[in-house]
Amino acid sequence: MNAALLEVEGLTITLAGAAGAVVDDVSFRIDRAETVAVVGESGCGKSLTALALLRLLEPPLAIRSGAIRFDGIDVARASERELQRIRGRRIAMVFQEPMTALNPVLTVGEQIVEVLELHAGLRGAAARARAAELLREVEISDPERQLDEYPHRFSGGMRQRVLIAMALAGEPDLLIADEPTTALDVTVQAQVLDLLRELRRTRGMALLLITHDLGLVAEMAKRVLVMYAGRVVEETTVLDLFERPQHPYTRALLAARPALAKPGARLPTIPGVVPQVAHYPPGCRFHPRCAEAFARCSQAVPGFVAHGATRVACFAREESR
Amino acid sequence: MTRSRDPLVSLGRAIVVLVALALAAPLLALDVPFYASIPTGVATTGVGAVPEGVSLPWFEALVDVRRFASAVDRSANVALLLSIVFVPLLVRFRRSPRAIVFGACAWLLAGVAGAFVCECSRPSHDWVGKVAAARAAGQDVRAVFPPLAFAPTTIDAGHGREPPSARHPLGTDSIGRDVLVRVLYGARTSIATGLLATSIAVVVGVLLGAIAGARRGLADAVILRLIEVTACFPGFLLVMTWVALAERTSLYAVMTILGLTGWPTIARLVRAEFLRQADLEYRVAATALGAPWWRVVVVHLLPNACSPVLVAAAFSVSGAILAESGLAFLNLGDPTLASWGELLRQGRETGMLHLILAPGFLIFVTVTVMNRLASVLRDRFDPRRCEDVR
Amino acid sequence: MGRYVATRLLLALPTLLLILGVVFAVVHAVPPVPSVEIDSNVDLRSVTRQFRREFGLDLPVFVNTRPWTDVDDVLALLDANDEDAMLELRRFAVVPLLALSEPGQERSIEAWTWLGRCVPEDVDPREPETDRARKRERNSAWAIVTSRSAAERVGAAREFVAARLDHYAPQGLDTVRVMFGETQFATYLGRVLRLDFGVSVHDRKPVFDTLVGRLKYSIGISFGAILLAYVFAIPLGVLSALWRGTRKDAVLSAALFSLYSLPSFFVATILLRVFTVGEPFSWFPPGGFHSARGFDAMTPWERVLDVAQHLALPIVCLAYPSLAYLSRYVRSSMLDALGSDWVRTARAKGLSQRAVVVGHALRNALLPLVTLVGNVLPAVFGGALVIEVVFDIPGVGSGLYQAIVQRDPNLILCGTLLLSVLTLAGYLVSDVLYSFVDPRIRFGERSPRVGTERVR
Repeated sequence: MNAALLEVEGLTITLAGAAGAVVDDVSFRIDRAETVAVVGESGCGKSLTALALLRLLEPPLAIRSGAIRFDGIDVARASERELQRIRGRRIAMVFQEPMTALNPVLTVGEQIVEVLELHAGLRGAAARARAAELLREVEISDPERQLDEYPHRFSGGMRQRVLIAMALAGEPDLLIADEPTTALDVTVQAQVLDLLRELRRTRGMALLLITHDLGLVAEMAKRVLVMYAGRVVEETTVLDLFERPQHPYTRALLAARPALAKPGARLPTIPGVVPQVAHYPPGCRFHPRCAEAFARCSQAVPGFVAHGATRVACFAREESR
Repeated sequence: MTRSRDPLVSLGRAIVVLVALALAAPLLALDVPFYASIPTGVATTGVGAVPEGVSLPWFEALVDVRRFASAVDRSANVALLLSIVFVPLLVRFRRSPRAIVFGACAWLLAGVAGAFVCECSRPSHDWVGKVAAARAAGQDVRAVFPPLAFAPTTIDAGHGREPPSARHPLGTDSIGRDVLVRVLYGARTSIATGLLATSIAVVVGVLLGAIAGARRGLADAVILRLIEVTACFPGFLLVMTWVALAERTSLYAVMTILGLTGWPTIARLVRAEFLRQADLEYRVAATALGAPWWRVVVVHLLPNACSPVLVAAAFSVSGAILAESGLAFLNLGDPTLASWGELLRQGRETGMLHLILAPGFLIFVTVTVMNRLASVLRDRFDPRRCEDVR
Repeated sequence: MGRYVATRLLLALPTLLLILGVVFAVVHAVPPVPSVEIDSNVDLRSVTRQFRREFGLDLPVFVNTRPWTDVDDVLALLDANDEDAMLELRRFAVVPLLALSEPGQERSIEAWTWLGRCVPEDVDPREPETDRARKRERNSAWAIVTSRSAAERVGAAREFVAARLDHYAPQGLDTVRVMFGETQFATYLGRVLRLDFGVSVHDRKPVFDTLVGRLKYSIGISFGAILLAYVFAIPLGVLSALWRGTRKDAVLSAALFSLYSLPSFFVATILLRVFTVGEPFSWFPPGGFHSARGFDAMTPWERVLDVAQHLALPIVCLAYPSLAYLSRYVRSSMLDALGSDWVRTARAKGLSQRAVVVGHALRNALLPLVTLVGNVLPAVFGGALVIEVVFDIPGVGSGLYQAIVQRDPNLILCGTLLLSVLTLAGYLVSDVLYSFVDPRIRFGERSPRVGTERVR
């Protein structure tokens, strides 16, 4: 087994003033040029995990414990200076909201050139030329002219492309894409996805895809982490996810997909609601909504058990083995 | 921990204390006894003679136009008498904000109306002088005076421009009037200006804002222009001009002009709130159910516009108080009323610190309390809806 | 852009007109009187009449109803023997007076005497030549009428009036012209349009020149104060935003809030008391723009120091409310910016904290600050009025204060107009500035300045 690009161990994020951990004991790894997806409902802590990888959490949120090893550097304990050398250059991030993620008073060009000056050592005309090239790479037409435009002139899809171009400018080894298509139209979604896939292939860059869209996972990823209420409940391959889901939550999530429902039948739903951080139940956090739950589920936190290439945190699976 | 207590509670207490001090001024300071028993033939002759027998002159003095030349003072006095009725009522219904608002308005109106209905004019009795002389002569006079036996207009001859002393806790002004007494009565002037100017601004603003927001079209266009024009009006300058030119300076004119130039902010807020609510479902539903437009306005729209208006009103009170003190500071105040700004002017002219610090500190405290109230309220409500106000 | 500015300027006209109208109404609610020494031996009546003529106060203020004067009105004036009112009616009293002068009328002699006083007109050299020619023609024709014998003169006068009926009894549209045109307000507006703002009733000097002469002092302290406010407000606001949640931020915020609520005339009084009279300090002169004596003999450098020393206290008094207001604004918009998505994007790019704060957050937070000039400007001008009075600076504010106290109508009107124009100009400039700094704003799409935030 060769060294992983990114290895996260026991990452725990807390919210000041709240009792439970918002993200609790999350561990996973990403190899070079690999695509890993994190799926889960909104509020499950997947975006916070992504922000934590770049140490972008703002108070009252903070990393309480755990290690984030990126290419031999412990990001969780890195100094601000070290972080600045990692952000943008080694790990780049594309955010969920293209409408607000760009600075409204700087031109698109200025915002891309900023990265190039910082991480590629380019200046002046060279930086500008490279910025135009990047825009062309993300399939924005007439890039020379668009460089001098302000973000408000761009549509949502265009802005997302600009954000991707900006993320690519530092030629990172890992790109974190946090719900990169949620805010976009369906047709634009497909274009952005194609773009991401293509770029990943040509550049040999690893991709961490944060999403709640299982269709996207099937299309893009090789390995998948399923998160529920701040914990990873299952880690599996895409094939196993759809063929042999293990955790009751994963099964429920798959069953609730509209595409699988019979015409005319009601969509299956998961009973109950995702609990709030302050009201996380003891034991397995899914047990109040779980059809297979038994006494032990509410008393102890289940550890991971391996099922082939899959790891699952569920007492029910432990028994059945 | 007591530190995390709601700031609104302490602000509310501060306001109650200020209003209570202003109302209770004659209770604390007046040169007329609450109760007097004067034997026949004593102190009943000469200049400033007092009536003989048992009497309660304090109550009569409250509506005496010779003692309280300004209707503002007399209204406050009547309101003070009526507090026997209204304070228990307000305490009884303290849980209902609506009852408090209505109660306070009724109290205020009753005070103003009462001052116009019952007023009297008595010859000027020199209670303090006569009683003191009679006591010195060993006569059996009984009289219970307020703790400070000075009226705001009493000139303590021979004690002008005195720093604080046992006789005058905050000293005297340049012609020998007690500063503490004038500061107490000055609170009335400030609070009355703030209240009335703001009430006018709120009434006009809510009315015009509601019409513009609810009716749209031509009415909206006209009112919008009016708002823009009035917002550019040099209100303070106008008040100054009016006050300087008018034959007799009256605080009511000041309040009216301040109110009539202060409404645009409120109208704008109400209008904006109405437009924001225009497409909300309950309004559409109410209209669909056949409710007339004014009913939709009164029942559905106005209550929602309350919070931004409250914020603007709190700011407006402090603005009016500053304007009133500023006018008095520039020697353009109502000469029949004690005013903090007027004391401050004397402080500037004489350079005496007690004349500068006492009124200045009170203006500062009052304005701070109102501004703080406004900003706490604004933070509590949806801040975006109040962004128009400062 | 040009179109936008033109529209705004056009919209400013009715605003100014309305302001002028209201102030005019207030100023003329009580007619100004000439300032006369109480014990002087002048005939107050004739001085007043002269004064009212000179300043056009013999006309109605807003609406002229004199064309409808009838015999009864004139009879009432005759009964009251109100000379001033009759002479102010002038040509509109002529037709009723003529009717009363007819032989057989009870008071024909009296009426004829009055007619003789009302018809002749003063020829004012300031009027246009055509007006003067007409007046001279009427005066000479009237002289012929009066030279007739007693029996013939009423008939001659009837012919005289009949030949000039449009002058003495205007009909139709002429009535409307008189009704709204021959009023104090219309006359005043006409003069204002020719940039003639009239003269002071006290020193007879043109008020515009007086005020413009004072403007440099006001602009000096106002701009000094605005500069000072911005220079201190920006770092204070930014620091307070960066220190958010700490004790330092709490202290700073509380201090700024108190400063915001502190009336400037109180602060000015305290500063004067503490720093100028020598108890305990005598660091600054007590007032004025520069030293009264020896200023001309100073070297330029000494002059600058002298003026600076005189202006330090007033500028501080004028600046601190705006400073408090602005820094609170900087703090909140800085916090907004720091919490925004694009600042997180900038961090994710690997920018240093400094680059994020200065290059991204501050840049955005400062944009709205430009527009606040429009809000700060009127506040500073308004505040300058009191401060100039307190510190005895001969600026527009103290001039206006004096005018108000002395009831000098032209000076009050011109001063108000000047302040209103400056205020409106401030709003316009800040809107235009905002369009330059914020690429999102396009003219006409929306007004960028939010409401009427006021500062004191």
